[in-house]
Amino acid sequence: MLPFTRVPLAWLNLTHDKRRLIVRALGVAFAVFLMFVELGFWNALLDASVELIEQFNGELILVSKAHYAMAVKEQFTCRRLAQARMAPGVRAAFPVYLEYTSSFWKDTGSPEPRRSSSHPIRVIAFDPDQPVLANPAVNAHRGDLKILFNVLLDTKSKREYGEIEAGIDRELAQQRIHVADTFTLGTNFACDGSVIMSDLTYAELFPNELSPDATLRLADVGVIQLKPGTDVETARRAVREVLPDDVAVYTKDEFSDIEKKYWQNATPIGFIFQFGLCMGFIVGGVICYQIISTDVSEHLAEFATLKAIGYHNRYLNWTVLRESLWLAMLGFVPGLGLSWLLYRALDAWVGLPMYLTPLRILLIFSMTAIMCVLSGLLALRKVRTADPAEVFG
Amino acid sequence: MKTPLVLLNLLHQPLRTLVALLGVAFAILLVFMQLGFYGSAETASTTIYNALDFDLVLLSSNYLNTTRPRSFPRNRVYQALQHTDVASVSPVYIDWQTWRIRNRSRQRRAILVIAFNLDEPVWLRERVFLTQPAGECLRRLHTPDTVLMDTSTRDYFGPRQPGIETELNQTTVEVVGQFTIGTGYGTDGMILTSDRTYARLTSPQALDQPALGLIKLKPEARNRAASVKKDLARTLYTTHPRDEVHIFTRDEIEQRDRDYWMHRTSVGVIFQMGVFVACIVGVIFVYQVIATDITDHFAQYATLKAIGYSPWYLSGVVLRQALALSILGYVPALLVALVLYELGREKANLLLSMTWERAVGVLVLSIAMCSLSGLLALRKVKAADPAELF
Repeated sequence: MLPFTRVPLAWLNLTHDKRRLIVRALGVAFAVFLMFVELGFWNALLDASVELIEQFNGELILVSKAHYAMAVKEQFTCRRLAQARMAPGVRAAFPVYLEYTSSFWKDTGSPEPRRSSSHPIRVIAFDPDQPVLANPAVNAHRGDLKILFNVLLDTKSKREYGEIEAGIDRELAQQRIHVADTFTLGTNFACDGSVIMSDLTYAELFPNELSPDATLRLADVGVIQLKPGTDVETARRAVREVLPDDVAVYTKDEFSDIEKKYWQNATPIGFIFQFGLCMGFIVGGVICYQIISTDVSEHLAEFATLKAIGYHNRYLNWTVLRESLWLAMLGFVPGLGLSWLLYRALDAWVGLPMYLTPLRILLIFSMTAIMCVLSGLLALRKVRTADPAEVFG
Repeated sequence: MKTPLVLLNLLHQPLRTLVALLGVAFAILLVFMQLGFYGSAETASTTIYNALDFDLVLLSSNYLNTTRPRSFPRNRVYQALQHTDVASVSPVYIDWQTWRIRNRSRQRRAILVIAFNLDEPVWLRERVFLTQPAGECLRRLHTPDTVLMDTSTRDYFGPRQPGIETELNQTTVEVVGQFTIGTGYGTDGMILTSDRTYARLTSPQALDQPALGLIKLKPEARNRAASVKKDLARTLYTTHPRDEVHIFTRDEIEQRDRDYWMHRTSVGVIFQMGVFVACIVGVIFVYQVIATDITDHFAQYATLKAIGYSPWYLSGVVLRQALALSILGYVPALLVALVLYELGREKANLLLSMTWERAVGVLVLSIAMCSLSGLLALRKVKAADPAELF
């Protein structure tokens, strides 16, 4: 028997008609695109909820033991941060103060007085002398925040907050504040916009009801920075050891996962997008099957001839499978390209954080390959029944 | 017509017809599911209003949605009561409280608490108390420190069946019954309680700041709610600064909440995309199925043409076949969609329900998709030259 690598039959079968090849690749690309869109939306909603966490400038996160979601206030004493600084490997520990519910923003710039209702905005506060967020725009204007009642406003905030530009005066928690500059973060399930301010401004606007002087002694999140070269897991154990168990220590990834898991469970988006992903898979499978089975029926005479001159069923099977794998790859590339374009467009227009991570690309590629191979296997049955005698009968 | 060509065409290769039917059914199912998801997001945004009995509602001018309503001074309620067409004004209190999970973790979670005066019929009972008699549940609430639990509250709130005792804001409360309003994107757990218990949970002053003022009109004034609203708005806005309280009709407030979730959060954009994509996939699928069928019978159609049948006749055959496929595909799709809706309700607390409008709309859509695809595919046949075939 001839070694079958000499003639790349699968490739030739697929490419001998160029126009057809394009239509076929586009068919598979459409299914790939569909799966990417569903996966993209699902992840966008979850990624949006951890955008702030990702920008925390540290490796470990300290929160109250009662913490389960960022939007729900569970504070801990800043003494824990002082204690954490003593742990080996820790370079710095910063308190971050958050306010989601009582921070009402009033768009005093809107012309019609009746429309000036107020909306809660997410407040992120920290010591402006410390690089607590890894956000270039924020760090460039940290100095401005040292002036009391100066804030930075998120450019992605929704339109009910009114104009978003540097130099305007607005009302926050019934006090006049000044927008010193803008930065970019994004909105999510829990907030429609954000402002950043210094811890001192925060204490002025949102004093602790029981003891105003103690406001800054209770932090919402602690960001812990490690010395360069420190192993995160070792440092975490060291920090854990010096602290009592009224606080929890997480790595940044773990903390992100807790937040994502919360929203995954609290909203029905998991069910909806898993369904969507399955839909893309089935649609893709059907398209692939259509393409491959049509191709097999059209080349039935050729397949039968190959059989007649002595090729085994196994060789023919292998050819069909390779053809489906080629199809998967040829469809995947334009599908990926199209999805990338849509991701960028949605990011720019709707402000959804659509990320194409290698893991997600790999996931969709595997799904595409499985879908093509499965439909190839189904189409195989036809080849097996190819009877040389009948074809030339 | 003597030969039932359509029927014979479909029955000629039953397996093929079955595959075509499955293809059409799948496309229709997709449209059903995406419309269902879209509809569930819309329904979820007005669940609380759907459960309440009112004609007009008073709200704070800082109202965002039902889960973040803020509050307004109670004297507005009395002010509204003075209007001759108003039968009653019932204050409703809405706030987040911390619920202590009754398991080893002893964690706390924020839960939405809705409180009302037990003597005032605030709820549309048949929509809220599906599983047990409403009167019995509401009677039990007269005991201080008792609450009712929403059946769609998420599992991570721990044990929450009737009889369970736990802390709500450091006060021990007992769950004495269940109700069903349904949680949406704004909340994951909900509790009903009396205004008295609410005052004990928060502060006595809390009763001076209701979140909603439900206005019921006298029966004869019900059909002119909009004009009463205008009237009331004039009195309410002039006696006090106008940006403290707002008044809406039922339709207006429901529209406002839907608008909030569907247009101002990312939720809406995503579901609209979903419906759009499903429709495109549906059209492509149906076209594929029908076009394949026509191409397969290309020779037969061309022959019919050759022996003198008019193109109209051929179009008729194709259209009737498309109609048959769309209706035969619609039925299983509708059944599977109903099953999946049920699954979504059970597993994901999605408020999926089949409305008549949707069922009929999708039927029309599928007939249109099938007919259009058939006619498009027929163009090939019309151009067919019998001579070429043989």
